[in-house]
Amino acid sequence: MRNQLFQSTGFRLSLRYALLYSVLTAAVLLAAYLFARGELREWVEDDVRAELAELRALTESQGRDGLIREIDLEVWVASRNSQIYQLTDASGVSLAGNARAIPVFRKRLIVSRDTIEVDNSLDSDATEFIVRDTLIGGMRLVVGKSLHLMKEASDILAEVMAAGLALLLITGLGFGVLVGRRTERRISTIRATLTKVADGDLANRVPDDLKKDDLARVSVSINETLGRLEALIESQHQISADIAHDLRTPIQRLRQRLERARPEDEKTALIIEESIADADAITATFQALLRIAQIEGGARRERFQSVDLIEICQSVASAFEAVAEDEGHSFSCDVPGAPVPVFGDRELLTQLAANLVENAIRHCPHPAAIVLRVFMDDDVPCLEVADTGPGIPADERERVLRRLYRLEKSRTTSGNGLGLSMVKAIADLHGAKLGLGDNEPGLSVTVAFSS
Amino acid sequence: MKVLLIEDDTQTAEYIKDGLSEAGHVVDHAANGPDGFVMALDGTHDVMIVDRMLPGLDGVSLVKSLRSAKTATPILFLSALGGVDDRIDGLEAGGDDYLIKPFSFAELSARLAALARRPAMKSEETVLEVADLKMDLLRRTVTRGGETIPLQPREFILLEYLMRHSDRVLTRTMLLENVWDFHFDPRTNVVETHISRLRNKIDKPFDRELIHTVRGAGYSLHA
Repeated sequence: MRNQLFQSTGFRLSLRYALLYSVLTAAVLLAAYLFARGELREWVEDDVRAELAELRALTESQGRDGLIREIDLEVWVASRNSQIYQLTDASGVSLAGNARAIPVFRKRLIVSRDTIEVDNSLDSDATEFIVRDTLIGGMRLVVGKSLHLMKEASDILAEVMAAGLALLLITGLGFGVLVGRRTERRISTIRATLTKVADGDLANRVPDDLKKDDLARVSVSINETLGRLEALIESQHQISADIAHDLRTPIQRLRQRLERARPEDEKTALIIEESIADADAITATFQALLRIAQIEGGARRERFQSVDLIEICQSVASAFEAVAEDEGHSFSCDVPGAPVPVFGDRELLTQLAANLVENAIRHCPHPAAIVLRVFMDDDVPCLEVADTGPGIPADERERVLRRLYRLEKSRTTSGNGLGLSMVKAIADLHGAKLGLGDNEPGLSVTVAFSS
Repeated sequence: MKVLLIEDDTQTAEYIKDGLSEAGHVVDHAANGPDGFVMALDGTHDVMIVDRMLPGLDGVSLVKSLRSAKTATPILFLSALGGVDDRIDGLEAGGDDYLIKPFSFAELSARLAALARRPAMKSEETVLEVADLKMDLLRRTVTRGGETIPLQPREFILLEYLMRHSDRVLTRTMLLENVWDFHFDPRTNVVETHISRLRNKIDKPFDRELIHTVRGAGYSLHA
């Protein structure tokens, strides 16, 4: 069931969609994150720029001393909002500020705390600063702000996004499993219906599950097809029955006329007798064909019961042992001690065994040894007829079974050449496997029933 | 024998009527279901022949209705339906035997005789006797002229069937069905072989032949 779930289209499709969505969402979230981080950094930089502008304005109104005073004040607050200031004169001597040795840069720079000197009073979390500078009247003012708060913010953002993504993925997978399972159940229902129909219950249909999706449409199509199939087979049976009736009645009349004829001489009497025999041969052939067709169509399956293979074989053996011996063959019946039950039709299985034994009797030049066996192969009941006759060459064995040789090359008097076809039809009806093998020498025919 | 024939095909009906009359039987004929039903309720017939496909009321329904009406007359189905299920359907409906068209008159005649009520035979009998041939059903032994004859189980059943229907013609098909329970046509001569063996045991060593071959029909056991 696990494997089936993973192979189910519904599950796979959902899985693919879930993954695709997750990847897309991840991409979007990543972009959003990077953008947000960029924005946050912008804000920090804006703060720095604003601070620079303020200080420049202050210098213009309060002069150099005012600036130094302001910086000293800011430095005192800076430890709490982690800003750094560096004011140097034209020769690089420090005038004010809590930072020193910030290198010269263009526009802006991100410096790490250990590459410059800062006062210890600065927040220990502040390890990276974004700095900008400006020249005011021969002095160089550098202002910087720590990025650690921004970092914290963006980290939180990243965590939230990752959690959201994970949740999305899990929900997607969970949904996939649910959809997969439900689809799997519906597909199982369809398969069950088709199996039952293949087994012969033509009236079966896929139940209506009230949804209006793809599977529902397929189910409707399947039901329509099954309906047509049932009608077709019905009409086939009807045709067979009609043919049977149409053929039998004229043959009956033919026979009746021949029987009522009063021949005047021996010769005519013989002709009439042979004609009657021919009429009977015609009847026997189409009767056998009709029977095979009906068996192939599943007739009698409803009447299946548990029957003992041993009893069937013993009754066949008791009938044909004498016949075989009269033909010069030796015949033996080999059965185990305990009953071997199979589910099937007694009459048909008797005919199957009889056909095989008769085939052996008729096709072996004497003397041959014919064996009728019943045995268990693991827990598979088997019936076998083996002879030491000419056998069937390996390549012809396939043909005999596959193409359902309806017309034997060696057709004799009352035989209609359909024996093996009948055997195959009966075996198929019982869900049994028919196998032809080399008896070394000779032919062995094995019928293996399902356990 | 008084026979009721319910058959719609004129030629077949003529054929059967003529044949049976020649054999000394009395035949009543109905050409459709409803008429046949009415005539059957009469109850005076020894055996009925019912065609399966009748206008007005099909054979199976007819027989079912007759059986519900407690008509006990033996019924032989005549049918152009030879399907695997059809015979069973017919027998389940209440028929006693089933003959598929085309059939030989000998077959029909033999089966009718086997079906028709025979007052003498009682099923409690434990010994069957024909001339000096005696079969003890309890002890499963057979003697002729006092001499015990050993028989194989199937030979015993065959002889029993012949003796129970002594003086009647039994066709190959009837023997296959009743002695071996075979409902198909074998392609070897099962019946002939067994009859021959039986003859070797119970006829050959003795003066009088009891098992007779009836040409074109089957076999019969009688003195």
